Amino acid sequence: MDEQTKQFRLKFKQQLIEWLQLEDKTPEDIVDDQPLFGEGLGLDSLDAVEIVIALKREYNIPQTEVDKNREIFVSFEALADFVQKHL
Amino acid sequence: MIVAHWLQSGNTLPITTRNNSVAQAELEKSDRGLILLISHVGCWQASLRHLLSFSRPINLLIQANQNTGTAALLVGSNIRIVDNSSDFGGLLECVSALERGEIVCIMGDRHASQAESSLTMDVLGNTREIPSSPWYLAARCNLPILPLFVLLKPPLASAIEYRFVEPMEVKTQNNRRPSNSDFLPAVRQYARELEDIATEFPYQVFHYSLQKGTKNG
Repeated sequence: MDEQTKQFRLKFKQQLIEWLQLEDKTPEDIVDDQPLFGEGLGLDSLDAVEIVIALKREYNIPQTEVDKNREIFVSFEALADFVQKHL
Repeated sequence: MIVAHWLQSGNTLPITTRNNSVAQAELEKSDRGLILLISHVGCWQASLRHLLSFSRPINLLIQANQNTGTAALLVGSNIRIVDNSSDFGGLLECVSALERGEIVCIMGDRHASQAESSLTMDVLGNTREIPSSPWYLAARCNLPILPLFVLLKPPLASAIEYRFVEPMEVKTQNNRRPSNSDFLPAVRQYARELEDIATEFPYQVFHYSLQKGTKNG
């Protein structure tokens, strides 16, 4: 992983914690290749809505893009890579 | 359900509306969508037919495998079922639909499953679990919630009334993530509307206790 990606992932983990109000989590708790939903980080459907709204607000990523790429929710790294490609 | 099938078969009942203009006005405000809050009152399945008159695509968020009868009613119509047991409870489909200016109908008075996010509502002397999703979507999509009750009118259920009540708004501060406490004022308003309906049509409000799995009202 290059330094730029590493830096982005750290920042994005902090953003997820802020958006989803995961007060008991730190960036270290979010493992790159673990699932975000259900097991793993344990996010739910309202968290998914929150992420979609935040991606549009913070990164100007339209929901149609998210709709076409639902596999991005499988893990943190899939989501982070998707967002990084839109920078 | 019987009435809905009966109507589907080409039969007719006199239909009246109350506050239909409220729904029209909400739709005319912008090209964004509308969240319709449906309740287990009267013959709610019949509401779907009326909604087609609004000339906007309709989405119905329900647990598809528990509502096969309702699903069968919609075959060939312009109403799309969004299955709340699918990925993310179907909520991302709902957000997309609202962004496209479509109508999203959500059952507001009964919690569908333990997997669904819920909140509590004090209504008719009980505390009930109801889905968080309509209130959350309203807050996050910045859209009002419009309750619709479909009532069988006396004598002997000889007519149907589609009754809209005033839209409810969910306010949150800045971009802060909404919490259940943000929904309470609107949820209380919804509970009052349900209680008014129960007073006027006491045998048309169908509430079930998810915890006990029994019909209790």
